[in-house]
Amino acid sequence: MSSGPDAPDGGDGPSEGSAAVGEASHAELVRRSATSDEGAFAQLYDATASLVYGVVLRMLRSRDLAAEVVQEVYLMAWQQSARFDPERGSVRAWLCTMAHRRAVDRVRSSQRERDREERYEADRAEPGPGDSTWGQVERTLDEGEVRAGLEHLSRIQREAVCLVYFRGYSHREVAERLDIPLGTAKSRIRDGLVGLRAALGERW
Amino acid sequence: MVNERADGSGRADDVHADAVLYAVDALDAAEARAFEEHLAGCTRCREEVDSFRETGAELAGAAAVDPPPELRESVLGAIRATRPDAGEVEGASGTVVASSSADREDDTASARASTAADQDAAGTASSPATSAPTGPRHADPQATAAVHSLDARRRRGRWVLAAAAAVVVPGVALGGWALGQHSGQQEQRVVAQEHEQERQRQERLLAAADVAVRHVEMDGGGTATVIASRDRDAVLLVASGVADPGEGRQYQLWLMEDGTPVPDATFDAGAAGVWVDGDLEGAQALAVTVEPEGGSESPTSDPLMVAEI
Repeated sequence: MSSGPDAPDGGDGPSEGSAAVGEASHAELVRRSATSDEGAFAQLYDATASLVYGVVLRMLRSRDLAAEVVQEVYLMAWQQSARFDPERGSVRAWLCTMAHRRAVDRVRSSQRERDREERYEADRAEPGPGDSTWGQVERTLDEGEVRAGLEHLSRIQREAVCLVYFRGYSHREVAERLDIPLGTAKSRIRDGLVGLRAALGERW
Repeated sequence: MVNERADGSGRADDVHADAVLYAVDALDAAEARAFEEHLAGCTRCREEVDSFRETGAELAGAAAVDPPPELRESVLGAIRATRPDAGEVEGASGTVVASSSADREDDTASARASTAADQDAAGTASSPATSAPTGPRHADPQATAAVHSLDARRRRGRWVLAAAAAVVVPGVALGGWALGQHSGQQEQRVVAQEHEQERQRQERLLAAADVAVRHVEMDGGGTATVIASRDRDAVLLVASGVADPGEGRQYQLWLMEDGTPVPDATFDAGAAGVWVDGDLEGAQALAVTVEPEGGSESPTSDPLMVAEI
């Protein structure tokens, strides 16, 4: 268990970075939302929207699409707020799970768009495609534990993790994209995330 | 895309190891479903999934981006149109959760978003258990103070504002949708049930894996938002800010089949949401024209907008 070395405190800021911060108050806001408390939900939105929007935007790379998905995610969160179980994990993970999944659905259902993009990237790809993903991610990642954790991984693990998490690739797509066997793709994703979890310290 | 069975790779012994892949949506739909069967009975895997979801959230947190301020208004406008489920769902018919996981046989990723093993963290629109849309609302003074935009002028019933938000943020129109037509208070009770059915219909559309949303400027002013799902054979058009088409005239929808307009529903300027009646199969686009009241068999004017579906 490592606690964040420089974790700021307070849970209301719109873009606080670190995880465990404000979790108790987030959970409380979800609990109040389940009683139709719109004010609590608005606070929850303020505390988490940059997190949700960030991951969705990165996957969909369209502000309009990202806004739609974020709206869907919060609508679901509102409707399902009574089902949030704090024993199972944090509010942030609950929201990110919904957001990631929803964005993955969009990404994988717009196969045509993907194909177009791949052609585009193939044309300009000198380094591996995962590298450019990582490069994009790296430029915008906050300084801190997560970035350090990612940098701690091997390059091939990092690119697999980034393709999965920030681009919405399945392991099968990772394998195709990187031209590696399925089992290898699975291992890289798994090892990368295991390594990242270890680097960040298990909080839950 | 090939849709192999998850265990087709001969890694059945390895099923616990899929927890991490499942947690970050790296399994395809068929594999995810297979894993969920395992997950339902495996505490260890549930813990792993939960744990890696935290890792995922850490990744997301490192990539946070502040959303456009208009999105906040739009989200809060949207939630005002619905109420949270009352926890354990009872007596909810037409549950999206059940239908979307049971019906789906293709490779859409959302199938996995809705199984019982995973429902508390899953991402599907859910079934509204109760909630007539006109429930009592109490303005919590503290919340109102904290969130100035939720002031008393904008309580329930002012759906127009949700529609307005959609205009302010092209790209965000969900939630407030078809609720504009019932602003008169005395009408509210009468339409409550109808309204609820409408809402559920919208939610089913919204929950479709292939749901696509387009925003199109209408000639002559206003915006049309077209929400379409071929899986569900459903298209909803939401018009906002469109002009009155004139005395004795209405707007009419047309499904474009290989360039031929097939007549569809008519609507007035005040209608907030219009469902397409026709069959989507064979149709490539949706168009809107102004026609004599009651509609025409073939268009008598140029389209004000055409949207691919």
